[in-house]
This record gives sequence, C-alpha cells and structure tokens, in this order.
Amino acid sequence: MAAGVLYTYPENFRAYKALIAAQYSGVDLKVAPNFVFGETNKSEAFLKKFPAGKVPAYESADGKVLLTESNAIAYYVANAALRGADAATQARVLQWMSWADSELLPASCAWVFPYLGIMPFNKQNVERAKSDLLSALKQLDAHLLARTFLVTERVTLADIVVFATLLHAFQHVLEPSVRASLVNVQRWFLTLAHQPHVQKVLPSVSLCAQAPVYDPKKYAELAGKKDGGKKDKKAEKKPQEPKPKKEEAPPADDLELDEKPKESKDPFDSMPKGTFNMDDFKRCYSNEDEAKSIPYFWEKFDPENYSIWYAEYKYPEELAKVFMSCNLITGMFQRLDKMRKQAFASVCLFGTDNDSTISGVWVWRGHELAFPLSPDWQIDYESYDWKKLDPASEETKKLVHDYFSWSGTDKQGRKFNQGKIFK
Amino acid sequence: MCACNVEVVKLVGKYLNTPVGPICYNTDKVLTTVLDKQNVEGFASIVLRLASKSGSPMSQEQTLLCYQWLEHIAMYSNQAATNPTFAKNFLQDINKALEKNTFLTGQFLTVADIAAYYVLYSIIERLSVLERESILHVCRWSKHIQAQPRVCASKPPLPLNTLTLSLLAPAVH
Repeated sequence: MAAGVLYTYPENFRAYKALIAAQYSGVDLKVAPNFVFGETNKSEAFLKKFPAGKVPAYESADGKVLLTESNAIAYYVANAALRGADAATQARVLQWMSWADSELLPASCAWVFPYLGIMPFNKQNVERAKSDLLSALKQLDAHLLARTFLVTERVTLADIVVFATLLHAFQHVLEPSVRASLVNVQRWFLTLAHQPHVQKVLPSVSLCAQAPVYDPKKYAELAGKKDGGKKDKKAEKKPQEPKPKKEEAPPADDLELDEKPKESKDPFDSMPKGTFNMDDFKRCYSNEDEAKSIPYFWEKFDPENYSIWYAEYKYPEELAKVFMSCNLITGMFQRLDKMRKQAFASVCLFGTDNDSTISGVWVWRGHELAFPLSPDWQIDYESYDWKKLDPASEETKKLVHDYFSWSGTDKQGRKFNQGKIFK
Repeated sequence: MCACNVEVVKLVGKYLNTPVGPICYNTDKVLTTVLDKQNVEGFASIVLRLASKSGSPMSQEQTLLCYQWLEHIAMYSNQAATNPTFAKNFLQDINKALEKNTFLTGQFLTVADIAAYYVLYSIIERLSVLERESILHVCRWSKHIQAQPRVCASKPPLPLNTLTLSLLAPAVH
C-alpha cells in the first residue's frame, strides 16, 4: 500500500488530486498536520527530502518513496482501476493528465487568479486566458458528448486530475451563461463532484453564481484579511479596471507568473516644483521628534505650490476590526505608491473594534486633488471626503500637529488608536 | 407489443439479483407479482420494491424521482414501441433530461436507469444511425449503462459505438 503523508497548504487543488485518488483506492493518505506554507516547506528537513521546496509533496510511511509533482503523487496513491487496465487505457489517462497541465492549467490560472487577488489584473491577459480556456473546454465538451467519463465508463485518474484542475474555474469564473454552452462538461463536472469518494475530500463544491468582478483591494491586501461588505460597493463604483502596479509574490510559489508593470511618467511632473523639498522633510520627520519636525514643516512649507488636505473615510460604520481598517489604509498607500515622491500623509484610526473612524492629513504638490492624475490612484479616494485646508489658519496648524504627532481625537472624541504614515 | 413487460422485470430482477416472484398480468392487464407474500401491482411499484428488497438504499428524493421516471416510461413506452413518430418524441424528452444529468435521476445510477435501459433497448435497437444522432445524450447514457457490471448479463450490448465514437466524437487534439 502507498500509505503516507501529504504536505500541502489547505484547499490546494493540486493536493485534491492525490486526496481524491486515495479515497478511491483506499490508501491511507494523511495531510501533514501543522504544515505552514512558506515555513515548513522552506525548512532544512523538508528541503533535504524535497529540494525544490514545492508542495504538494508526498512521503510514504516507510520514508522510502518521496514524490513531488501532484500528478505523480496521485498516480502513486491510485489503484489499478484508476490508472487503467491496459497500456492503451493508461496512455489515454496520461494523455488527459498532460492535457490538463498544458492546456487547462495555465489559462485557468491566468483567468482566475486576478479575481482571487493573487495576480494583478491585466485586461488583455485575462481576455486571452479566457478565450484559451474556453476553446480547450469546447474540445472537452465535444469529447464528453459521447462519453460519461473521460476515458472509460468509470472514473479514472484522468477524470480526477481534469476535475481538480478545473475546480477554480468552475468555482470562480465560469458563470452560468458560460456553463450553459458547455453542457456536457458541466454534467460531467457535477457528476464527479457528487461522487461519494470526491465528496469526502470536497464536501460541497459551489459553482460560480455570477460573472466575476475584479476587486483591486483583494490583490493589494493579498486575500486573507478581507473587509467584507465594502468590496462590492467599490467594485460597482469602478467599472473600469484599474491595475495596481505593486508587485507581490503570489502565495503559490510554484507558479511561474511574470508581471510586468508598465513604466509611465510621474504625473506630478507637469506642476511647478516649488521650494518645498518633500524628501528633506520626510527625512526630518523620520529622524527627529515631532517637536522639531512639525515646526520644520511650517518653516519649509511652500503654500504657493503645495496644498494640505484633510481626508475623512466616508463609511466609518462599515469599519469592523482594527486590523482590517489598518489594512484598508496600508492597502490604499500601496496602491498610491507612485504618489509617494510628491506626497506625504498621516492617516489615523480612532476608536476601537466596531466603533472607529479613519481620517488623515495629506500634503502634495499642486492645488488640485491629485488622484485623478493617474488611473492607478483612483481606487480608494472616492471613499473619502476631501477638504482642502488653508495653510494659514490656526485650525490647520492644530490639525497638522495632531495628525503628524499622532495625538488628539476624532470629531466624535474617539481616542487615537493607530497611525500610518505615507512617505 | 408491450414494452414494459414481464421480460423487463425479470431482467431487472436478474440485475438486482433478487427473485421477482410469480410475475404475470392480472385480469385488468396490469403487471402483478407477489413479493414477501404481498401482491404488488404495476411496473413502477414492482421495480421499486425489487430495488428496496435487493438492499440498495436510496434517499426519499431519489425514490420519488425513480418512481416518476418509471411511471413515465410505463405510461408511454408501449405506444413508443409501436409508433415510430411517437417514439421519436418520447426519446427526445429523455434525451433532454440526459443532456444535463449523467443519469435519469441526477448524479447517481439508480434502478430507474437500469429498467429504462431494458425498456428502451428494443426501441433504440430499431433506430437508424441518423436517428440515433439526434438523441446523442441517450446514446451516451445507454453506452454507460450497458458498461455497468451485470447489465448485459443476459442481453448483448447495443451496438452504439460505430456512430457516437468514431463519427461524432472528434479525434481529441
């Protein structure tokens, strides 16, 4: 028997191949407990066994068989019925497994990942991936017109591998209208999803209910810590798809994805430089106490060419956990990355969980709201109320002092909780 | 000629490995048999009783769906067996159901599929290649059902391969 341990992070569609195959064959395949992606698979002990550090990885109970690639693991833990009875059947099974990896997987990832926030959204790439995947699925549909399962009249590894590969697409992007044109594929997919052995691994597979909407927030916040309701509102507001430029390593590091953010000129270049040296002030602010840096700010500030703004988050009632709100702020900062050179801000969170507000003081070159200058910057600013401050008034001086030194309260008297500096 | 006949019930019984009892038509020309010392009347009831006796458990939803299909088939198959035009419509209805579902009742093989296969056997057998092309989903399903163990124990499988496999399914990649 091929009993052993499977190293994987949770909900890994590659690991499902082996887990489902093991259900069919009755092999005792356990998922390694306490596996931490990025730690366990980078540890010395792990790398010694699996030099590539990739998951899923398999180790047999006696430690003699070490496997990486998911198809190989699934093959090893399968039984004769899944692999195919004769060489011709086995070859057909292998054919579909390779087909899934070469025709389905790249297109499916390129289409689904931007919507999951794992990859930046690039309309052209997504459209191409979509047409690639749909044409592959059309082939599959024609094949399944005359067949109940892919190779024989029962479930084989081919079905399991293609099913697992298509899982993401069916869950996230293949909306009902698209599925309607792939009726045989859908029939086959649902039948597999309902097989008792499959259900032991995947108790319920929910199909994509509507066309996916790209949410730049998700990408910036790197999935995980999301802030529920607001997302939909944002998505509706932004029908045109902005493209965040910040690159982040996709969590599935076994995928080779190249992202190439396009270069474009600094939108602030069109404005006069003035005398205020942003870098200089930032250096002073970072190195000196606020007692020194705030007077320094007023000394150097150039009201001719720079403006000070007060921003207040419009939907404080939607803010729940403090860490989510902080992610909201840092996410916005990340998306505004290219503004950093010519802008400075201190954004503070006041209050506690479920009772908080976000507001901040911003300084940038020019007298207009800077965000419309670049399509990359337009994701978040509409969720804030912007008020231009008069640099000469006492009120402004106090606001600047309170926000730069992270003291004071919000309008309703909530206490300062956390501050984030954009510099 | 009667499609839902004694022979079909016997084949289902053979498939389920369950004795069918003294099956015959009663004075109202309704299929009747005696199972567990009880009179059981009607095609659908007999088939379902055989299934539950053979010990294949079904959810209530599945039992009801089976009953619905068995009744449908019992109701129309006689006419379909004698009238080719009627048979065409009858098969088209089933074809439509099998477009979205792998099996008649959804995702799982039930006794309804087995009984329907035996009933449709003679109807499909008579169709020309072209006629079969219009009911591809039924052909796909028949091919799958007859590949199940024990289904073809007493009947040769329908020769469906010529049409669906070599003509219609394209040579993949």
